[in-house]
Amino acid sequence: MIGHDIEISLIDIQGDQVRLGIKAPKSIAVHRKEIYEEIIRENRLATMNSLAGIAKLKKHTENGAEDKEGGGKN
Amino acid sequence: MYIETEYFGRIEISDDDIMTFPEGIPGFEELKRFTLLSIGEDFVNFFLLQSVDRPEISFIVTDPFVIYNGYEVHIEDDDLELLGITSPDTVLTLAIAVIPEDPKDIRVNLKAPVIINVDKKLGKQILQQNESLPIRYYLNRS
Repeated sequence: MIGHDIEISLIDIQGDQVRLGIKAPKSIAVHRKEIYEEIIRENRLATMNSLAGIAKLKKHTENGAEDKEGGGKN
Repeated sequence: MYIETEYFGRIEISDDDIMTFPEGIPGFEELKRFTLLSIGEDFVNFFLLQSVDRPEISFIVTDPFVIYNGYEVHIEDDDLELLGITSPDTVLTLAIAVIPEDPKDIRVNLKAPVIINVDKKLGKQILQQNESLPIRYYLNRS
């Protein structure tokens, strides 16, 4: 147990693989570290966009231009 | 106020244009202030989420509901509270795009959308539990 409302249980061990079960209240987000790290990796890549690639985006937006929320300002 | 940006140089924004990300963005936790800029009429569905404090840090973002049929976002209570969200009407959902030179590699992160309360100008990138949402949703592959 972690605190009084998070329960961790061992589900299975096979060789060097361990499966854990995590029971937590709905308000607590449980994410695998790998996924979080992948998000960080994609975020870093997202800050290094290619200008040439961005120019090619134009083509993409010509089709699916229905409506949009919010909007930016210059 | 004036801010420096990588794409547009020095631009003027008003204090109202600044959104606070109390937890930053994963990988950039120290950056708390962003502004949303148009990247030009040719890019209808794409915007630039620009760091106010670091000119070289910006994200091209798009509306996930436009690119992915049936897209849904789930926000847990603690995040609703963090962002002061009381009504869906004030929520703007954006997905961060990665845009390499090869158009085939252009992709959008549907797993972790950026959620903004446009009223209170508070934002957070919120990881979705939904297993079917891809971190890399390629726009030009089928």
